[in-house]
Amino acid sequence: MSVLLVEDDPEDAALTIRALKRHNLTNHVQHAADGAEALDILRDGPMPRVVLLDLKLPKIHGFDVLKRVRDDERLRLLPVVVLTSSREDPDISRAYALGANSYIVKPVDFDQFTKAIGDAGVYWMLLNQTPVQVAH
Amino acid sequence: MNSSEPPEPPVPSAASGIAPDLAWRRLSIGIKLPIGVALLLTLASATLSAAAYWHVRQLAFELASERLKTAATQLEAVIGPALRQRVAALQRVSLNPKVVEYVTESSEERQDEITSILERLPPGNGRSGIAVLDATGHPMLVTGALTVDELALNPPNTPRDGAIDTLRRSAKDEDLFYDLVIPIENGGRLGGRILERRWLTLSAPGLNLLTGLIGPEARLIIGNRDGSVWTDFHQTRGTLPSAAPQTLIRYPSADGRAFVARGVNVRDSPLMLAASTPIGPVLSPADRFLLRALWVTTAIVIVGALAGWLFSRRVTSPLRQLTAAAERIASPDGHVREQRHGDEVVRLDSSFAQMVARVDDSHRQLQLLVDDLEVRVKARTAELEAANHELEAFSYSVSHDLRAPIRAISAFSNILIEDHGAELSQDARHCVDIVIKRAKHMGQLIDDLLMFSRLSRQPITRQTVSMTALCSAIIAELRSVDPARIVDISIGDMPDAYAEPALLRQVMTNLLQNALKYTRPQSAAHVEVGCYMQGGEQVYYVRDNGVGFDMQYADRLFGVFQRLHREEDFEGTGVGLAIVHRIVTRHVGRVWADAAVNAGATFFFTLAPAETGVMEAA
Repeated sequence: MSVLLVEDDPEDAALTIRALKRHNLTNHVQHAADGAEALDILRDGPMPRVVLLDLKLPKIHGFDVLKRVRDDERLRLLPVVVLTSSREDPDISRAYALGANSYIVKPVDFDQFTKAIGDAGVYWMLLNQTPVQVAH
Repeated sequence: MNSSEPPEPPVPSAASGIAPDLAWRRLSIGIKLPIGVALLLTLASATLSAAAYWHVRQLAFELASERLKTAATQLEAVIGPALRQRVAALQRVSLNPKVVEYVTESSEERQDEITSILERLPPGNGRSGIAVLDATGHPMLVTGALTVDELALNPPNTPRDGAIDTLRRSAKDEDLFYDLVIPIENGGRLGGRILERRWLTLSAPGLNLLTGLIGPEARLIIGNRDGSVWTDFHQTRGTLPSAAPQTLIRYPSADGRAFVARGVNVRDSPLMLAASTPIGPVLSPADRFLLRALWVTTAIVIVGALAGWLFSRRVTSPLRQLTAAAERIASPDGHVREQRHGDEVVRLDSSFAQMVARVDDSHRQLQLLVDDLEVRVKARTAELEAANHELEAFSYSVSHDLRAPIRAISAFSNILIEDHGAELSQDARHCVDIVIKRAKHMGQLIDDLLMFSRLSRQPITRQTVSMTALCSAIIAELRSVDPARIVDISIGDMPDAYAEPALLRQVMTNLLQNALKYTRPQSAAHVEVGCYMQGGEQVYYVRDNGVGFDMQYADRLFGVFQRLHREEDFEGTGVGLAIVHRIVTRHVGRVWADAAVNAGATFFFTLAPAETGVMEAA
């Protein structure tokens, strides 16, 4: 049971991992600092339980990562949660159009941020059920 | 002015003045129409009058013909029998044995006896004489006006049939005469002849009969049936058609006047009798008719021309006005082109053509302007789109990149207190608290700014919104944030609004939020929401009894980041009213405020009414 966190901002990544740890959800958190690395990990490594995907990423944009995941026969059912600073509607619409399973805006406030990440983690790691094909 | 006149085509008569057709064309309809009407009426009346005149004339001739025939018949009824009685009397004389004996014996002593026999005959009218001729035609005895010399001068004929010879003209003078020739039989052989020569004179009774029948100027014509010799007792020469007795004929009188005549043949003779009368009296009814017709025609023509003139005046007046209007449009600067080539219609046509040309020209210029404008609009739109695009990119960057550092500042400050709180002094903790608070405020500022920026780009779809329901919902929401607070909020009767629901909700939320915020110091806070009509507009308002503000700063109220209160007293970013202003403006409405320091504030706004297809303000 692992999480793939795709996040270029090291502080945001640290905060996200810290929030997940608070809820004891991080047996294994994999961190990719850009889209290309994320795709490499997904291609070669074991299938994560969920992907937390930032949008504004170096090299390969979050939307492209999402698109390639959905185009990949093996990965197309993998739950992808967009976790980003943007609350612009075009982003939200596009994310869903490309097959995102969820869209979460990172709150600026620390308490709200911790709670939001924790809630999402609990939901996707513990409550949500995935098809057998994706599980391993 | 002359330079604007079109070059005249070379007209041959141009040098000598105006060509007739050109002159006619230049005439006003006010003159042309009456003339035309008069000509037409004249033509029609003349034709009708001529036809009627000919008919009346024909009738007059027929009437005259009948009357002349009647007169001639009656004359023949008088003269014919008299002639035949005379012939019979002479025949009786020719059968007298004494006369027969005298002719055969030629005894001198019987001469007196024969003369007395002849003298016993009733006297004829006018000049006449009787002669007894022997078988060879030599006169044996002459009486009356007849002389041997006369017989030598005008020897007697033998009539072709009967006793009456044709009318003849004397070889000596113009006297006309005819002979009655009766053969004297002697045992089946011609013994001699009795000849009576009668010169023509018109008897008073005959003339009286004629004038009584026809008129004072009536004449009697006696002549040969073939018309060779005739007289009307005024003239003895001239041509008289031989068919005279049967139909009405015209002949010129010696005095140059025209006469009409009709007659009948005298039975048992080569003679004819006719009655004649001058044409003048015959045609006088027709002439009177013609005169009357001329008067009527003239009257009709004058009335028609007058009517035409009046009508044309009614027509030409609007035509002139039309022309003037067309000229004004054709040359708004007053440089009216000279119009001398034709009547009102031609002038109107010309002015109209100029006007059309001018309008076309204007249209072309307008089209050029429109094209130019379109190009400019396109360029401007492209610029705006580019600017909008940049703004979007900017917002996007702000949204992504500005939040992250602030989140980091806020978060790590929190972590500092959480993980290392024990190591921090009281002052250090206070500092970190301020960092956290300000970072949070910064986050709020960014969120508000992004929202404000989004308002400019978001499309507006207006629909009917229940203001009462909307306000109730917002107030319930706001109350739930601070349930302990006691505020008296009244919602008045409000008509439905026509707006984008989410944006209207934002407006009311911001206004009500402000009202609650700035009444916080009041012990008894009152907030009132309502609407009233003013100048046909619905004016919505939110009134509170809060701290209010100084109206001299009212113009800064709706600016972004503009605040009239200190952050320590009332939290806020200074974007709320700017958002309200932007939303109301995009709904083509107005927003304004009325307030006084510590006496509450009222915010008013209007929205464009539903029926106006409002173009949304950018």
